[in-house]
Amino acid sequence: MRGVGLLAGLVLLHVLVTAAGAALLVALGYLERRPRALVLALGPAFLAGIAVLGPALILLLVLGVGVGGLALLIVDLAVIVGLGSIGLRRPPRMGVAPPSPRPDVVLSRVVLAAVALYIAFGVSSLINLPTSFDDANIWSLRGLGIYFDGRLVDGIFRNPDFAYVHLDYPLLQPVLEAGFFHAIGKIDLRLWHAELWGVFASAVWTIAWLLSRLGGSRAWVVPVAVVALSGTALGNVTLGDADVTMAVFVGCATLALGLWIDSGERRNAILGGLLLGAAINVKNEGLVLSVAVIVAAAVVALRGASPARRRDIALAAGIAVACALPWQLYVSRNAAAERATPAPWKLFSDPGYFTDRLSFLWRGLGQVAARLVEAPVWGLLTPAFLVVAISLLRARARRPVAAFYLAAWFLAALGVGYGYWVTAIGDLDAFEVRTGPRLVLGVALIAGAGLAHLLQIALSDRRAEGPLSSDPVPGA
Amino acid sequence: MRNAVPGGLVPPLLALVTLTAGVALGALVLRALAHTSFTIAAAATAVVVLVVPLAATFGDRLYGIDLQRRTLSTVIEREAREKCLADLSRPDAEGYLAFVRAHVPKDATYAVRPSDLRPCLALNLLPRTPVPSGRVDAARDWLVFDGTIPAAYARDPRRLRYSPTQVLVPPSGP
Repeated sequence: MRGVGLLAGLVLLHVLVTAAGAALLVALGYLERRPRALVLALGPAFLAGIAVLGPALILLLVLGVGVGGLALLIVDLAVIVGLGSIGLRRPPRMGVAPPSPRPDVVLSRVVLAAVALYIAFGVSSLINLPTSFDDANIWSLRGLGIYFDGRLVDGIFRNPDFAYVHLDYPLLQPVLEAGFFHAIGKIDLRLWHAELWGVFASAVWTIAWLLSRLGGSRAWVVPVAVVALSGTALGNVTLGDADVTMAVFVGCATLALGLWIDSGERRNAILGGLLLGAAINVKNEGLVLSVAVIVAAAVVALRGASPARRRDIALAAGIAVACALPWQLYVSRNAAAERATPAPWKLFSDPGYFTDRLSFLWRGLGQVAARLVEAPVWGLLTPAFLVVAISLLRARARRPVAAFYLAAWFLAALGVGYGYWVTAIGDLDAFEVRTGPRLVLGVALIAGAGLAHLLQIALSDRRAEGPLSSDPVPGA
Repeated sequence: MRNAVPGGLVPPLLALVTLTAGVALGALVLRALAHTSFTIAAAATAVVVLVVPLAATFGDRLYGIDLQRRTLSTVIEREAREKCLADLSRPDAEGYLAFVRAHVPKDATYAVRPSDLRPCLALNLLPRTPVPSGRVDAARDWLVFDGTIPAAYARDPRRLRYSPTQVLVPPSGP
């Protein structure tokens, strides 16, 4: 009987979050109101639901409003009704996608079936896990604090005794964890890992869903599979850390903004902004990577851009900032929340701090490069991404989108390097062993999502070949 | 001067550049063989260099999941939550934790001193609420000692002793 209640709660939680995300996708014109379209969009809707509900719940917590099961339900229903009513007034905007070649369809189905098998089988290894150190001291402590009290009690969130467990870390994952325990009607930290795996799976689904809408080549399934099958992702979820959750939001946001640069559709910019806001609300690294992605998008898209483009990128950045602001304001007024990675402007008055630690920067950038080419983890994902992106820079019509992905990847790698450069952590050897693989997750996801999109472009569209006058075809 | 030499950067960067050059070389060869554009050759090469190792290692990845399922996924909920004690080399504190749970009411507030286990204990003692050290009110809060016990509390008649270094003191107020 207990198992039935748990299952019913899980179903209810996922239906509610997915419904909120589906309302957002309908409001943005992504979704046709047909059963098949809705089923195909379940994963993206779940991810979008988290992205739209998370910041709202964090705002309530920061304002001191209790967030229990009832509040979760009310916020969820408000989002569904609000966004749903917008969506119902607007017809979906569905482009006509070119058909995919038959071999591509077969290949993509085989690869996606393998990914689905891996993810489904992965659940079996994630339902009875112990709670690891960071999870216990950082994430689940806060998740349980919110679950029991429904607010940010000083004893946990403003307690100087807990300063060393990073009280500045954002709240989206703990909020989701509290909601998960409300849904299942009890605390079960062992099961929580499976939910994080579900978030990861929904992000993989989102990338596939966004790209499948473009039609044409389905070669994008290959980098999607590399990301999905990365042992680092499974390992991170096993530990209960938040890096995968942050990285998948960054990856999906980068893809959405890449689609916006390529198509000019505002809804992609809005979705990108929301997903970046979610990434910022998961981990502080999400803030650094989001700045990298939004700066890359702005620089590339604003070169000779129309006013509409400027409005779109301002809208995306504004949404991300609005989502991130409540927690960042809370932290700025919380003396117990010390930041281990100081912002650049806090160090401008001490340039010697930067110059004295240049070796840290080199080491950090070296770590990024080393981790990205770890063959068993990412294969040749990054080298392949670089080659395809650079080749597309030569095609005038697709140069902006290729330049965007390259710039976002490069700035994100620099962002990780900055973390090494200024970190207050003295034992860099231990830091590398402990955090090296997970620090590059966001950079790898940018490369993975970027390569997936660029492959679709390169193999679908003759425009990708563009005016390649410097690239004569032998025998032509 | 040491900072000027990016020694930590050069070898991994060289590895990245070499692998990228290798993929690019593969694309050039494919372009020559297939009489296609470099962009299409690069994309096709990318697909091949990614899909081949992925297919070759898929079985290993499933085996890895199965291994984790059989070795790690075996704990009960209480063990899962208390693992942070073992991570801090304090598995001995499990008994004390049960002792504290048995005596401190669920709606109580408490302070832990001088232990380095505070966040881990907080996780395990919720819904009991921890109080920051600077705001402890002995009349209202339970005191959870883990380590050196101040003389005043070591002789407190209200104290609940678990071990010489682990003592629980109830609030002095009503």
